Amino acid sequence: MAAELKPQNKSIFAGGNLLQIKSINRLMRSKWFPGIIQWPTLLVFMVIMFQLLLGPESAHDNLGTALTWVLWWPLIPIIFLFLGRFWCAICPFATINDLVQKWVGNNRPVPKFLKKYGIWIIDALFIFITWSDHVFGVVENPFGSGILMLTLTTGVIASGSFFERRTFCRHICFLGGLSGNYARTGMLALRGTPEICATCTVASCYKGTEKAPGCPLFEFPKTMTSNANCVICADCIKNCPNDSIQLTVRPPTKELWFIRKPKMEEAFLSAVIMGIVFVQNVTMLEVWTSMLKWLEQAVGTTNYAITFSITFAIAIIIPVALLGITSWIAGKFNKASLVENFARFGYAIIALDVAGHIAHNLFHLLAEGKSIFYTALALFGQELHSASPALVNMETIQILQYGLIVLGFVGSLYTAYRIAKNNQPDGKVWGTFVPYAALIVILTVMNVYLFMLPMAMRM
Amino acid sequence: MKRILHTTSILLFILALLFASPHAVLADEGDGGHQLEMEVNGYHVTLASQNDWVKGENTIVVTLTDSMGMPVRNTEVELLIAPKQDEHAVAETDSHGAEQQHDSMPGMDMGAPAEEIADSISMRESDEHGMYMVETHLEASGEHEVHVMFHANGEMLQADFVVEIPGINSKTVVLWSFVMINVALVTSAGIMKKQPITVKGGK
Repeated sequence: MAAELKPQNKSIFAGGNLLQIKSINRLMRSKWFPGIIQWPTLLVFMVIMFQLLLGPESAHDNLGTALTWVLWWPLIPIIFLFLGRFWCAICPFATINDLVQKWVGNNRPVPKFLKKYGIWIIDALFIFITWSDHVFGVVENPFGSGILMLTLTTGVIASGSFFERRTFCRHICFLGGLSGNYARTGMLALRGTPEICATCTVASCYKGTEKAPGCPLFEFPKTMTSNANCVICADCIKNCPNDSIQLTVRPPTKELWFIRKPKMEEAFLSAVIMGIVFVQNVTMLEVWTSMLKWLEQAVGTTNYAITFSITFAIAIIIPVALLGITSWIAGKFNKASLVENFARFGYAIIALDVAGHIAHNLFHLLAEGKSIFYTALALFGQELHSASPALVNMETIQILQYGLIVLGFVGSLYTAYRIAKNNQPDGKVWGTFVPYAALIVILTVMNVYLFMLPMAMRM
Repeated sequence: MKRILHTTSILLFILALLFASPHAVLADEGDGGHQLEMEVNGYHVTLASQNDWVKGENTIVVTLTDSMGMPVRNTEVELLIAPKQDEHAVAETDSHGAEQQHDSMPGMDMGAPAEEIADSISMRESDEHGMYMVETHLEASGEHEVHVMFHANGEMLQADFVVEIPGINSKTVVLWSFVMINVALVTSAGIMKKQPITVKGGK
């Protein structure tokens, strides 16, 4: 029966199954996948931890800082765009979770409050960690970065010790929340073939078999409509007795056009990320010092924790408020409530979020990229004090940044249009779309302006 | 093969723990017991502690020789020892008062008295020519700046050294706290795993 319902052989460029390609199929079904990437990643992570916690105290000289904040952090949104949430499959924290679970795991069910409020917890953690970075100096202090990593390690050890699968990654990890949102723009999608899954009664993909464990992030490919919680670990591909799983390439942002059950907390996160990208940019600008002085005079204190918290709150409130106002205006045309519009169209901002995030971090990757090499050389006693860390010149970086913002703008604009088209009757599409188009233009202009100003280095 | 991978990962984890131990921190950073050397205006200055550098009593030994390798005799030698300030604290302040010396001392015990930091110590010449000694009490562990000041040819010369005084520092405490928490988590999970879970409503 299942053999008769094999996925159709279409070209991979027309949404065909990538598993048709023998080498990919063999890789995905191999018992070495994703371990062959996972274990070296864990080794590199150990080197990073060693450097951050016990290496040079200056970020400028620390290989851990360079690998984390100049290489990994800028690359991660790019990985999400091309490979969805694949990073989470090979993430060292997830590997530690799995190891601890194997040894001492109690495999208790996920607490109900985590299931109910997980994304809000992720939102809060993401805001808190970004705030902490600025107030306590996590990125520019190797030991601070090390403490952040140790805190996450403790989190995964606790989760792996007591709870089933990757509870931490699905319900708590702040990066997981970010990657979940970003992976929706991703070009790689994993789904079950509906006709085959409809006849399945074993659900091996979810439960697991002797070949591989069940889905680590509690997903059921039969009903999956999003890649937000798929890490492309290929366990379901190995487990499915009917070869139902398909891995396809899709246009970026496509998933955002058809969100069936939009969630307020996910839309909120997308607006918050926009605010955080603003804050990251603003605090690295030369004008930040004069802004801070003005704020200190206005609030009557020089306490950085207070002045930064005010700036941070404003930066986050701006995109959330703008999205709220736009949703209210759009509601006048489509008669939907503010909350309904907010949740539905919040997803449209994600493309611009990803673009802003990549553009911001591209500066660090390209303007400081050689510092990875220099700090690695320093481990072997070779010092290159006066050498430039830049991989390319500033003009090139700025052109790439503007290019990315333009792509993000187009992605967000088209997504907003498709969401409006899919959810409104013909007569109300433009009335709904135009306010969001105006919002996206405003957010894009703000981004472009911030990228025009000179930025500070991380190393 | 999976077993080999798991065994390797366990070994790596143990190695990481060993690296993270306070002993490793000190072995990596410490200069205790080693002789430090420096050239100042043609004069060769060496600095050492008679035993290892320790938090508490130290007998500090300075030897001075000129450009010809001859010992510098009968000169006035003074020491100024201060816990090393971090770059941030130095950048924010522009004087060297005792108040800021207290300000920021990364990775060491806080609370070294300001008097100890500010006072210079006169050294006495030992029986061996060109060798000057003094006994002093160091209140704090961590990196210390040691300035050796001496007169030669009518001018005051200074040699600046940085010495690591071993001791339990705040970083070590933080790292061990994490180790203890994680060991406690894994241990309690291991103990709880052995106990059968009672299913509510089960027979």
